[in-house]
Amino acid sequence: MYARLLRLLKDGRARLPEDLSRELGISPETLRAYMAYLAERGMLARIRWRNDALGQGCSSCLSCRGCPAWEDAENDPVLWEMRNSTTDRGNS
Amino acid sequence: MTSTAGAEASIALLGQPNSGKSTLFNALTGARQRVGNWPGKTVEKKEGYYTRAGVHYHVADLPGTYSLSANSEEEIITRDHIASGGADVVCILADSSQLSRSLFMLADYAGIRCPAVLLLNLMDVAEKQGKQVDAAELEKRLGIPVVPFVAADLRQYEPFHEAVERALKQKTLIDTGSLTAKYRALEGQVYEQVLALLPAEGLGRYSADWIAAKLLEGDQAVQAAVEEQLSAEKKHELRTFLSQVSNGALETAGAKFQWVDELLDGVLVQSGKKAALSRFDRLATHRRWGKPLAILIILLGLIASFFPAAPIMLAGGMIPQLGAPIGAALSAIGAPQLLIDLMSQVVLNTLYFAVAMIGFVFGVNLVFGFLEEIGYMARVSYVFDGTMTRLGLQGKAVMPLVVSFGCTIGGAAGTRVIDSWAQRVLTIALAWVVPCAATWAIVPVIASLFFGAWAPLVIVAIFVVAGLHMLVTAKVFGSRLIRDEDRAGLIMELPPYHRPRWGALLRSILVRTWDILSRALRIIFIVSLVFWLVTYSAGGSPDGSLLYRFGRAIEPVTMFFGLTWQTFLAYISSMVSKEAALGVLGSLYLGAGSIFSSTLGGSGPQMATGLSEALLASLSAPAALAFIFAVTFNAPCLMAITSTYQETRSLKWTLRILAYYFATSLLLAAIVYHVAGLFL
Ligand SMILES: Nc1nc2c(ncn2[C@@H]2O[C@H](COP(=O)(O)OP(=O)(O)OP(=O)(O)O)[C@@H](O)[C@H]2O)c(=O)[nH]1
Repeated sequence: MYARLLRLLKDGRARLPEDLSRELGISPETLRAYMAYLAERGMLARIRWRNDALGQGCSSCLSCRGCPAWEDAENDPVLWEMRNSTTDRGNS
Repeated sequence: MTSTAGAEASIALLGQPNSGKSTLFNALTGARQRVGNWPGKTVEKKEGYYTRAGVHYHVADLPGTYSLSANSEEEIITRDHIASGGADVVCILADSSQLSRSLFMLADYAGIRCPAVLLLNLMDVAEKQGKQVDAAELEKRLGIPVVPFVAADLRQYEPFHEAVERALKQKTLIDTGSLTAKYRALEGQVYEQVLALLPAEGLGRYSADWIAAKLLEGDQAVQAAVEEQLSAEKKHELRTFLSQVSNGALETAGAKFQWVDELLDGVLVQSGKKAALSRFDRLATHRRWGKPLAILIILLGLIASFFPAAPIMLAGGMIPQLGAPIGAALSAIGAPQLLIDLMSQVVLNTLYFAVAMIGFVFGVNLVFGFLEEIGYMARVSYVFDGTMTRLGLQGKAVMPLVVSFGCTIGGAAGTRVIDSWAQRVLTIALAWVVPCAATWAIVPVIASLFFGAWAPLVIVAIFVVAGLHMLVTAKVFGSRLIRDEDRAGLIMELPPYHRPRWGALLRSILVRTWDILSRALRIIFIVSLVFWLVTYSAGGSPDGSLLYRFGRAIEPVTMFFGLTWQTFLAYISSMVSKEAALGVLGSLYLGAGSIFSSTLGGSGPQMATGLSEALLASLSAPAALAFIFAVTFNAPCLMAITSTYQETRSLKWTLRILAYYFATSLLLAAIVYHVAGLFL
């Protein structure tokens, strides 16, 4: 399933978990569980991008108060990005 | 140890953390428990006992672990305890509220030849979530007793005890047929090849199936144990083979999850989904219709913000009329002429613009804030992801671009989540196209002034041009920046729709509106003041000022782009800040008009209503349109330019982008001016 997942995501298009689960032939819940598993092993990175990117502030701007770019991060999509790996076997 | 009456039996409690092992352990053993350490380890060992129907049950609460791999001391202790015969029956606890995750432990256990019982714990929580589990069917599929369970509820323990007795008596093992089928389906037939190298009878309690999966996972401890049983030749063969397996743990885990998925298919039923909303969401995230829908909703939103804005804008038009009474009052108290002119030309002019834009700033923020708040903007990011890919961008680029609707600086900073430098530069270059909040504050003011009820059409046109601009810009910069990089896959989880929290929404919109406004007020005031002083100090006739002479000199060139020398200077100043353009425009047109009229001996009222009239009188509709496009697609502002440099760390690329936007905005202005000239 991992190889298939990699191949599916290779086209660079973002997929909703619902679509991806259909493509993999598993339920969205199972996909989520597998995603959590991969994330724990560092194969999938969770990006809450507004916090990750703007958490440190914007370079040339000093004030976030009233910033039109800053919204409640809870309404952002959560992005999961595959981290490429060649192998995870300790004995290889 | 046996399970016959009068004798003893050992139970081991196995489960992921928080599956309720301790709760069950305490309920079973009460005060009859002992806490120590596992031999030679720092890991806590909890043991106890209880008696039931004459059988003395030893209970061991194993450490909570996610799997039975050899990743941690706890995991090794756990499986060693089971493998060494420390238990006659293993009670596997699963969290019913998240079975797909929780049953991974069961899958990892399957293949160990020790009788087992599956406890579907936290059933009460699952039921509250609307989940129903068909335990009887699951039992049929697994071949071991399955008990829906609430460890915290002592009245529900009878089925548990019966299940344990049944497992001991019938020696129930998990039916692994369908799991091994999943292993067999792994690419490259790796599973069968490993299996062929192993002793068919397995190793103690570990079946060959279980061992094969563990070897694919790269489990050193299991491999060492197996190798002891193999000839030197087989051992070598096994090592060589295993060294060629890639992603074994991820693949076998995938197989386990697939097995769990199959187990739960039709067994786990979730009720109570919101049908109407999910139907809308299917449309909102539809491959083909999602995008037009998003464009339609955003456009309608922008157009809708004209409605509350229009009356406020009209009211703002009254402000200049205050110039006469204020001027009269000031001169009555003997104020110097400079102060009177400053009041009526700079201060009121600034106020006029501020009030004219307030309605629209509020409206736009309300619309976007609302769409964000209910969770729709996340859908917009999703449907435009494919477009990003086509532009040569990573999917992650969509968020910085969405943020640029608010502020380009935020957009530039937002590219930090993109790892590739080239991708970041391209994303920032494209973020400059997206009209920011300041654009949405000033463009409608000018558009309404010149085009009245048709102003929304200007907004639509800006949208269309922005789209085309992006395509071209991506081509221009992409070809130099992007090589065929490895595309990273992306999974996008959308937040659920929810009702807007109006209080919080309105508060944030008011703060934001005030912020944009106060910034605009400051900038317009300062710019107006500077330009006014430059022209004012030239004395009575504006013609004498250096600025005017310079302006006249360049006008033949700027008019090619549809820009008068005044709008050209305003356009140049918009590179520093969009709002500044209004200040320049106001002071150059109104300033000239009023100085002119005052030298002719004109009185207050004439100069007071001057601004909008002066603009309308001096600019043709095509020229106004050219100005709007020039400013909209100019470099966003000085801070955004600085930000671009700071984020890209490349002066060369910052200057390239700047030069590109300078050139293209003028080109666009020229096209708009000449094309509009044919119709307007
Ligand atoms: N509602 C409900 N809560 C439960 C149930 N079983 C356990 N809990 C609660 O779930 C939490 C975790 O339970 P524990 O028994 O500590 O879980 P554990 O498996 O021992 O966890 P670790 O010690 O981390 O391995 C506790 O707050 C329990 O009170 C149940 O059936 N229903």
